[in-house]
Amino acid sequence: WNVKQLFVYITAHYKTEKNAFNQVVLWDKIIRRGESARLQYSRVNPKYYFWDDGFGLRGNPNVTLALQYNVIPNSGRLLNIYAEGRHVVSMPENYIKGRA
Amino acid sequence: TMGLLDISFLSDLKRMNKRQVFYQFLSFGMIVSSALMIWKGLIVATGSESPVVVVLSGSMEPGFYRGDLLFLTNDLEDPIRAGDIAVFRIKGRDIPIVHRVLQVHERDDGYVKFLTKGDNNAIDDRGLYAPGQLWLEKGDVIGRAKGFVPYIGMVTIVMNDYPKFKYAVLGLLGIFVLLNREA
Repeated sequence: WNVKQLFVYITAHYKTEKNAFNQVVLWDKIIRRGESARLQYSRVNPKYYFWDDGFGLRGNPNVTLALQYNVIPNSGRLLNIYAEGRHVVSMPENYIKGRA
Repeated sequence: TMGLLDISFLSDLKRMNKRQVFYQFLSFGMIVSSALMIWKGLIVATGSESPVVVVLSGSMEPGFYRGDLLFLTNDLEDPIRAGDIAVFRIKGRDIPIVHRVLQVHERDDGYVKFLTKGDNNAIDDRGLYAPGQLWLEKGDVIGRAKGFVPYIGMVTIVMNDYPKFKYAVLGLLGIFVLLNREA
């Protein structure tokens, strides 16, 4: 197969008053050729800070998480693919201080 | 067949008269023009000012290494999304940077701003942007990578680092084309 690497990442999509479309990568992982492609995680902290350009995340009722992966071949076309399934999360109204 | 050390080749050279020399220069000119036309055609077709770029740094390893060649398109109708591999320039600097889009924020009126990060870097690119610049805009982007071939771009990196090598290659190519007699 022509696949050298899979760049797997989770993005959050949401809408705010200021910006009609927002997409933020929360987490990513590189799976190289030969490595196991089965990932199983629970209770993982986001790899990147999840902040909005503005204040649109607070109380946002519809934040959709999606899994995508970028196929990097040994040579040839680069593809970006959405995996199946979405997860919708609702952000709380209040900021929480400290670790939850 | 061409054997540079062939005696018949040298006597060929002597037999070339003015007309043939002129013809050789014309052929050379045609090759250069065709190459330029193909390049310009690619620029128009892809919408990118530089449809083929060489990866210069290791900040996207292990996906891309220094010397890999990337093929870009810059379709302004196709929205930039997180995960895309974008090649951009920071205002005031020459060097194109190849990194992945980490965040996208798009307004109703179509204005987009985004944040990038190299796969092999621990932090996002804010530190690389111009002083005071927090985001990248569509205008900073040369294109997004749609395909790639490994290693081939190494030639241009070597030619850049060792100018004498570049002149030697060009010189040899020139001599070869000028002296090649079409069968």
